[in-house]
Amino acid sequence: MKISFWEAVNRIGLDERDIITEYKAWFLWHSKTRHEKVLELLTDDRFVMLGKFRFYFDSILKAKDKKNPVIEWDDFVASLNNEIIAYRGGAGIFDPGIKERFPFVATTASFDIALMFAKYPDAKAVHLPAGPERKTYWVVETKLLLKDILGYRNLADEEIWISENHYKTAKVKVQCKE
Amino acid sequence: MIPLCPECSKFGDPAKLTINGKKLTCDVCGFNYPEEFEEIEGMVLSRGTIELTPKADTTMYLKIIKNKNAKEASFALVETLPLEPFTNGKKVKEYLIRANYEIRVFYEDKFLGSGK
Repeated sequence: MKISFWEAVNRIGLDERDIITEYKAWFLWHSKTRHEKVLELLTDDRFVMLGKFRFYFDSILKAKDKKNPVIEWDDFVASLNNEIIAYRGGAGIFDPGIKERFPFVATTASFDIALMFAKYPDAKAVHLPAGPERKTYWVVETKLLLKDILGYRNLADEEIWISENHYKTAKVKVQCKE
Repeated sequence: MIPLCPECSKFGDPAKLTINGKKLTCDVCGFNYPEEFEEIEGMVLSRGTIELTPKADTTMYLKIIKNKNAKEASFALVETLPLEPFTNGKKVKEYLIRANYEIRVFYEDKFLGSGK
């Protein structure tokens, strides 16, 4: 039996107030790069499951309709063991051993977005292309299981949060000079 | 109040919201706001808490203002009151101002129709 996006949210144990909490947390992350509120989400299993479900809905199912029943819950549960790819772009030299600023690594589901952030590292801060100060940029790809995603929200971009351990297995996909 | 949908508005994009009975619903994704909404005078749209942390050397005044014309966003200063915190002789590092607020709505007489 198929269920709607909102019925799935309820099945995870969340309601409309939680969606507002989630929105505010991610908005603070994107607008001020404040991670405290999103860290609170990561300590709540329901929000972590919501991130996996959002990725399944957006990037795997590629569904748009959130009002009507389009989701087979059992298919989602089965897909948790499917491999997905996350991308990350940056200027300079890629070093998976570097200690991250936050206790997670922000990646994206879109190669094109990763490429944009690689060429314009300030894009998140100003949302305008700014000239890169460095002459080298790279995009890496990381393969992990859907169930290993810590958080996902398609707000300003398709952002996925993964653990440092998963990021250490990232491989350079594009590296070139301007 | 910016008509945002916490589910499908991206970075402050306005959403198309409709009041169905007492529920405020996003036409695009079907998100239902948890509060009850009605098109009645003085309806509380949102409430919350504002916090400010001015430094110790900040001179603080409480300005009481009245919004005379919401459309022109003009405000008239009604009264200014100095705030005098009690310090008890200790050196102050900073203050914390915590205020509860609520936003109420008042309508013009002209009816806009369905708004679609």
